[in-house]
Amino acid sequence: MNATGEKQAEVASDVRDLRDVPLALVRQAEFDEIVRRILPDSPDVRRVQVAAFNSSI
Amino acid sequence: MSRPFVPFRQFVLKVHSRCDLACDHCYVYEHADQSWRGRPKVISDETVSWTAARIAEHVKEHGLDRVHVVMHGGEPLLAGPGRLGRIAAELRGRLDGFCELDLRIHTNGVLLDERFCEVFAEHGVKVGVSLDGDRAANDRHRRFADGRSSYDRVIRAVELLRTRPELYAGLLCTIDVANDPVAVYRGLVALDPPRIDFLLPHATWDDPPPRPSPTAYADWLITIFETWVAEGGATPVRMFESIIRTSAGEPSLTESLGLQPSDLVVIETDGSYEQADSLKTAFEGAPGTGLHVLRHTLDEVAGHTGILARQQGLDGLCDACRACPVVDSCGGGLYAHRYRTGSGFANPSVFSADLFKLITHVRRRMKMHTPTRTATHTVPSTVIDTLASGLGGQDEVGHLAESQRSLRRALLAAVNSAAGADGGAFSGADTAAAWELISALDGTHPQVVDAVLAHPYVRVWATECLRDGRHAGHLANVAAAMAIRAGVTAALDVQVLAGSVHLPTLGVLEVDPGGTAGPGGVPGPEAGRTARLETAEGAFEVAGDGHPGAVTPDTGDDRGAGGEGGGAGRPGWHPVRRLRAGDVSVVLEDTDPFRDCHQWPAEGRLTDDRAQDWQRAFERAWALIEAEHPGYAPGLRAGLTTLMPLTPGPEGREVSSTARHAFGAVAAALPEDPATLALLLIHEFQHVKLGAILDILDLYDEKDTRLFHAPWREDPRPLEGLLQGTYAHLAVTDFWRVRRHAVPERGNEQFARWRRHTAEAIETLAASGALTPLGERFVAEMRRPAAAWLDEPVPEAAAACADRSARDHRKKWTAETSASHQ
Repeated sequence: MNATGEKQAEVASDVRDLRDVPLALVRQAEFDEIVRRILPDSPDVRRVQVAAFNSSI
Repeated sequence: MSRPFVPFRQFVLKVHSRCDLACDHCYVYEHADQSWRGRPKVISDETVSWTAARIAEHVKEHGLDRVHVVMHGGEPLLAGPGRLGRIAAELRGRLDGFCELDLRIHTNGVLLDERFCEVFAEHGVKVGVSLDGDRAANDRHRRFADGRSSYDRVIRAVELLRTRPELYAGLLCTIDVANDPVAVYRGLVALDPPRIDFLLPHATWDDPPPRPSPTAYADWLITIFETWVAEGGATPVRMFESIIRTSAGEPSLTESLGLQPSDLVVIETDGSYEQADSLKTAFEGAPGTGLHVLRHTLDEVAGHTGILARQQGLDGLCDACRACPVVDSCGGGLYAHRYRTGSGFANPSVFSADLFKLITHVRRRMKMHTPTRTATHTVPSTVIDTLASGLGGQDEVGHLAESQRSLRRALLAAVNSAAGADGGAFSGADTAAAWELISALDGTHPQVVDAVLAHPYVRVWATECLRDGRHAGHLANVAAAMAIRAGVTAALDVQVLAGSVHLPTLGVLEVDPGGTAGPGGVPGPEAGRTARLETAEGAFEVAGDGHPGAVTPDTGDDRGAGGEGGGAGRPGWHPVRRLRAGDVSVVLEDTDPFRDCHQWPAEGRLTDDRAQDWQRAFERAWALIEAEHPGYAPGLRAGLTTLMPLTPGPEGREVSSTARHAFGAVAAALPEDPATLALLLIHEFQHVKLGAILDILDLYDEKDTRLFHAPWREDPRPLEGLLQGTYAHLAVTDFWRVRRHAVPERGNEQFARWRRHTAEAIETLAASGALTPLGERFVAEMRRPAAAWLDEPVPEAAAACADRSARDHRKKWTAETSASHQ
């Protein structure tokens, strides 16, 4: 048996762990990232959040 | 580190280079860059035509769904209503049908009249106006060359826009701290603008702004912020909204705040491409690219170092900014404001102290803190290795199932957001009550929420909803199923599809037998009406379904395939059945309206006899899996939740399928014998596992669009298709490796054939050059069992048959590939 303190190598995903985040508090940035990943062709998903032109409204 | 290509989505089209006002704070005429002096006064039709063509080319090249074009100046109204109409028509003519065009104009308002408004209404152009606040504030800078006030003319223009709210975009106010901030704010709000923004005056470290105190701009804006908050923030203020959003980890609404990359390019009246307009304040020629709309594509402009410099996010900031606790909101401020001779743009903003104070104040006032990034999923390397070998049990498949929970929660939140109160993408569906109920149950009955969301076709519905905006109303059906399972009292307007109310995980209630259905009784894409559904103590009633009394669905996992289960005897109620074999129980899904997402059509509601056929077949198949293929049983037990009957294949062909978004579900037509069902389950569940791995981990470069030879297909396959097929056939090979002892002749032939095909495909994957380091490791682990199987003895006839099959397939494929390239 391995020493109890030995840490197993982990591979990190880009997918945020939302299991314990209350649904009402799941932030747009968090779900946008996930939806972009699993639905890259979705028309309702902004691929990259970009900065809007300052000198017009 | 390479960054993703950022296509342009914002285009500032300089339609006129002169102005009818002489504002002394204007960055176009009064700051470092004086390039306007050598430019044509007005943009030519030819330049407009080329610009529209370039944008259209860019849209098609990058599949853009929406672009923004701002007609700008100088003063764009000097171009006249006729020319502006032609410009708008040219842009719409080139872009409508390919993408959504958000077309705007930004003006000082002096010339705005009914003629212009008619043109803007005809071409869908929204109008923003520059106004520095009340009369005293506006007249400080915004005057005609002879010193006259422009205020009355601008107010007249804004009043005109107030009568045409469809055209009114908002007001832009440039800050002068000498003005009374509250008077400025009230002067703007009184004009009922859809949105306001306050702009810091353009300045650099070489030419700093007037500053009566160290944080005069922050203090001025904080005064307005407090007024804004006290009045409930009724009028959106882009700067304040952006600070609040970025403090919550959401994107900014303006390039002057936040860390989002720039996707903006300017086209000057002479057709020159320029970078951000505000760079005119830095030094002579600062915005220039040396590129021209007649000679260069937008992709070429996107590669310009100046454009790329404004897409670096945190990496593009100086050390002081990177270490700052408010950098997520500030983003280093507007790029131009960082300039200092010698160090260029590698400095904090000249408004850095103001931005720090303002953002800190807003966060404290809104009780917000520096956004903390939610942790991401991690997977132990040993888990990945085991899955890559083709197997995986409770622990390994459990990891995948847990990560699916996050994906489902994200999708549901995205559906709710898209169907939000602002009209969103899904107009017509009132989902607010459903979301409120789901959010509440998420706190009080989290296991119930998880159980309903875990139904494979709930994710399928959510993804379809995000793609096409239809069936957002099904959120109420999801909420109703949760409420019934939780035993709470609720009332919801649920969606009726094809005359039935579908409750995921529970069943379907016919409320309108005349409702239309698609093939196999599966509801077609047409949206149905809604019906009032009331739940209490685990039962529900639907108003007007023609039958008195409530339905009490069986929410346990112990109901069987025969009979109508919970709610039995209630006319029109068809509960979801379950198949059982030993300690395994899966849903026999033949009611969900979103299940018809597989390669083959779904079968309609099964008769009780047909359901019993499935029960018998499943029992025998599972017994075979446990006895002969025990390595696959724990993974199936952990992850297979649903069997979805398909209509039989043509001429008795065995058909089975998985759908990428239906984690846990395997679809199949009922095969003739249990061994075939066992093979289909093992085969298809490989796709379920690999799909879930790809949901969270990158095994290959998605941008690689090459096609590869797959030994079992007539057509060349993209890398993901080849990877999926190979991973599935790893298990198919293993199945026949064992099965050949029971059916030697066919089994040996199949084993010899599939081990050869699988080994060949593994080498194609390994040599593709498209795998990530993790993907290379994954494929190397796939190779271990496949390589070992090549050493196992098979009868000569079986080996010869496999050789012949592989040779014939390769020959045919090579001939067809060569022909297609000639």
